[in-house]
Amino acid sequence: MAQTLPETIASPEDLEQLFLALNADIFGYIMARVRIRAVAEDIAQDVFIKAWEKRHQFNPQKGSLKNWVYAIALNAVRDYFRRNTLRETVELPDDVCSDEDIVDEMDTKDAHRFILQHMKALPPKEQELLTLRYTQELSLQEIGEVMGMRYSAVKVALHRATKKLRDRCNRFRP
Amino acid sequence: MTTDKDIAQALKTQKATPSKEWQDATIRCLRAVSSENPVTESAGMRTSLGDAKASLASYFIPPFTMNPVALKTIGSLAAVCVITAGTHVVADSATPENTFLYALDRGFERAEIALASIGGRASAAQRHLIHADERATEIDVLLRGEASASLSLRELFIETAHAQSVSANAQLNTHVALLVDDCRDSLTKAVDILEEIADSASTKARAELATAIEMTSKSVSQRLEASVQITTETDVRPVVRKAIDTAKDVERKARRIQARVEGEVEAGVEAEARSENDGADTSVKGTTTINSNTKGDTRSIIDVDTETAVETSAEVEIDVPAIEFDTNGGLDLNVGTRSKRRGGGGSTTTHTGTEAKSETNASATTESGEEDQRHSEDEENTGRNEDPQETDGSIDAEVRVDVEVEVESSTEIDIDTRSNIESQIDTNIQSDTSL
Repeated sequence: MAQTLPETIASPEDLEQLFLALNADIFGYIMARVRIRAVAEDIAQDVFIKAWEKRHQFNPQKGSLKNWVYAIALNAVRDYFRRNTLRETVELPDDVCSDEDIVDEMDTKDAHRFILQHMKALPPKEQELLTLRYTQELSLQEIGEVMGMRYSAVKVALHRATKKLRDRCNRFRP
Repeated sequence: MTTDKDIAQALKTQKATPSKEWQDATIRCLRAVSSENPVTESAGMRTSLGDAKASLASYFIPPFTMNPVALKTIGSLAAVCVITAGTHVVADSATPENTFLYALDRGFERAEIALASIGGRASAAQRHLIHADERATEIDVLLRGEASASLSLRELFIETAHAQSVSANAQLNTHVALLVDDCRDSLTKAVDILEEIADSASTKARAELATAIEMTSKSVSQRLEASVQITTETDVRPVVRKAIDTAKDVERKARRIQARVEGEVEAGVEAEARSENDGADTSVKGTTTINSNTKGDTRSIIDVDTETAVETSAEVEIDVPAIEFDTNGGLDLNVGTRSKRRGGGGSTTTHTGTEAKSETNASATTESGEEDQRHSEDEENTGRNEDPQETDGSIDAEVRVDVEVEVESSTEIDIDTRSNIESQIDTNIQSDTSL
């Protein structure tokens, strides 16, 4: 059920409409980053509550509502990692991997898991970039608005992150 | 081999979808939250006000995006600069009474001297002079304040107040003594630097610094003299006198150095002029034709045409030695030529020739009554006397040619100057014919 995004969050109805339109994307991003469903659900819920609380700070001239909510999610994930610096990251659960989009073949699955494993070694900012670009499929312009970067800076940073991950995977390839 | 496509594929596959239960639970939660905190009118007004401010600001400040880190760095630097500048301004006017601010002020001054030293020793000396001037101002402020306070307290005749005034005066003496020491120190350092840079700095820089030191020292001594006259606290006077003496001493030193520098400048100019003159052609070319018809005692006016090529302009005086020569008619001429040229600066090359060619027809009545006519033609070069010729009579003539040539010249330009000189020659002819 595709929901249209409201222009602003002026009423509880707008908030509900926003949630229905964006909850999958926001949850997907958070899940891709933290890789723990329960944690991702909590963070995602907090994101929408925060959006309601901070709704007066949204300025349509600076960007879209979608990117604004993504920026809240980005900061929420950063806060989570900041609070859990010493906590070991849990492996991606099987239920995610068993999503219908995931290829069934074992070799491909192993290869993807290998890539995701090495992605964790990248700096957080590069992980965010890669997730927003390839998992959430945001445009470079949208990523720039979410992360507060210029278009060219996003392009360069994304290129470097991809290259770094690729080189790392090739270097440690069994 | 991992490719970019593999990476994109791997990342795409990790996209998860939320469960239906979570969605329903979250919607319920959001409804509860939003119903508790509806959009109020005041919130709406705040939003409108914020929008209005932003739109108004956008007229004057163009909206731009900047890296947050750079923005924070610039903001921090600006804050540090503002705080430093503000503290400096406040501390600059501090006296030792405000211990903390005065210490800050001295710290800033030390930093200023260190920075000025980068630009050269002379700059540091100038900075010392500024600080000496500041110290004099501070002494003046303290003494004036002390004068008014003590006057009012004495008028009150209250014991406690008197005791407080004694304590205050002791503190004042200490502060003034501190300022006096600093003032003397600054002046002495400035003049020391001037003496140190005697060999290294240019004469212009030294002259400027010497002038500055002299003026500042004079100003300081005068102001302190005035302050001493005003203050009623006699204990302070000897202390301030020290600063006055030092200022006067420094002023004398600076004046002496300034005179020395001026002497060096003059010596340099003379040496330059001399060196230019040495290398210049100073030969004098000219043709002087003297036609004199003499009968008895004659006063003749001789036209002298002098062609002078001058490439200069320093004032030059040429004294040509007197020339004595005898003509066949017995004419002795003493020719003294003095040439004076004046003009603007430049190299000096003088071509002035004094070549006298005299033709004299003299007739004299001798004792024997014979009338003798003599025709003599004499050609003579300057500095050379021809052998006297035989003559029937002798004529002593003194010729003095004063040549004054006004030359307008510019540097390294040859100017031919033709001057007509009228000379009066007094010729005394004594006929002493012995045929």
